[in-house]
Amino acid sequence: MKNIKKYKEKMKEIAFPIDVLNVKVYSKKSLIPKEKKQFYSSISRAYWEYVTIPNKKIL
Amino acid sequence: MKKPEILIISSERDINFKSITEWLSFYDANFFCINIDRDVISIYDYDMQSKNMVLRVTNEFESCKISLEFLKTVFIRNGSLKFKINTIPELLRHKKGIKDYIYFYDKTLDSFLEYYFLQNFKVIGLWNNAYINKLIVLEEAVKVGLNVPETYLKTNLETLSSQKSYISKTLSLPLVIESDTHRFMTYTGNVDFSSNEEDFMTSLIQTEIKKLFEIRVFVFLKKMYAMAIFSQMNEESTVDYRVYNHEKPYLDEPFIIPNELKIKILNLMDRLKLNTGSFDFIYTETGKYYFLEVNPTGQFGYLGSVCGVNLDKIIAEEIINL
Repeated sequence: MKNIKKYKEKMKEIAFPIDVLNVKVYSKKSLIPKEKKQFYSSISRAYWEYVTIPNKKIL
Repeated sequence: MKKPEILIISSERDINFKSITEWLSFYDANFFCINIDRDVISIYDYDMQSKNMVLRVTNEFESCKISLEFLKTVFIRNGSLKFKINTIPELLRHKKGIKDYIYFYDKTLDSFLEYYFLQNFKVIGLWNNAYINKLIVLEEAVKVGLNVPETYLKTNLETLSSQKSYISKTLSLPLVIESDTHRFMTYTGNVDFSSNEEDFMTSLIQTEIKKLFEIRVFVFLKKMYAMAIFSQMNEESTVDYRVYNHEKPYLDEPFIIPNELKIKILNLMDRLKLNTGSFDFIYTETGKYYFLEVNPTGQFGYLGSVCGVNLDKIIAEEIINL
């Protein structure tokens, strides 16, 4: 499927619930996450991505 | 062996969870996190007489044992647990007998652990991906006196008035479909009478309520925070505020909800056995509040920043003092 028209045609063909027709389409290019630095925190036992890691010595 | 007083279950994709753990660490709390994206657990040892349980938690980096003898509080932020199942040879993996055996093995351990936690500790949040039935929520909301838009389940539009405006929203999860190049995401939107002449699968339809603004209320153990969302400022976000225009953002403001509404929310939470959740309301031009839905694991960081409070810190303090 390349556009909303084709998506809607397909959904109507299946006769899915009508809420699936309220659709927005996004190009995957804009959704590809940029490579981010991440680190493992033993406190949360999880990877963090959304933090700013200081890279300069704070005097 | 670790002996935590607080156990947190969450996906590592949840930013609030991580920040809460930092605050718990700041307050020197004795806690342990199960990261549902990486951890596999087993009930390593359980004595039904003494009620002592030891879990083994394993991921690609470590394997550790957790004794629950000092546990007081379990905070289920989101997700569901994965139980350890050994690799089954290809020849046996698809046999119906094996599939049924594994299904009920997993289900039994999972529901027993939920029962064990509820019986023995204070539990915040809902088990198993916090699934909550939207239709039952609406029925219960009416019972506590909340205004709810006229709601229908329909397989065609024949009996609806074409003079009125309706919206359709998912009764399941929002559908997201990906092709090679595009992602299609569904939202709440208006019903188009002209393009829905054939029968369709059962759909959730509500009358459209003309709103002045929307309100999101976050509740954590009876503490409530609310913000008004002026989603009417943008045409695309008029029906669903999640359809966001980054170039022309709408306004969000802290909002004080009346006590009468607070009481109804708490009554609804009692009925649904919720102790945390994000509630969505519409405020109409005539000054009425309409309840739309509740999300037991909604994101609240932004709401906190609008209200000028650090909700991660508050939640950590509430968990410690429970």
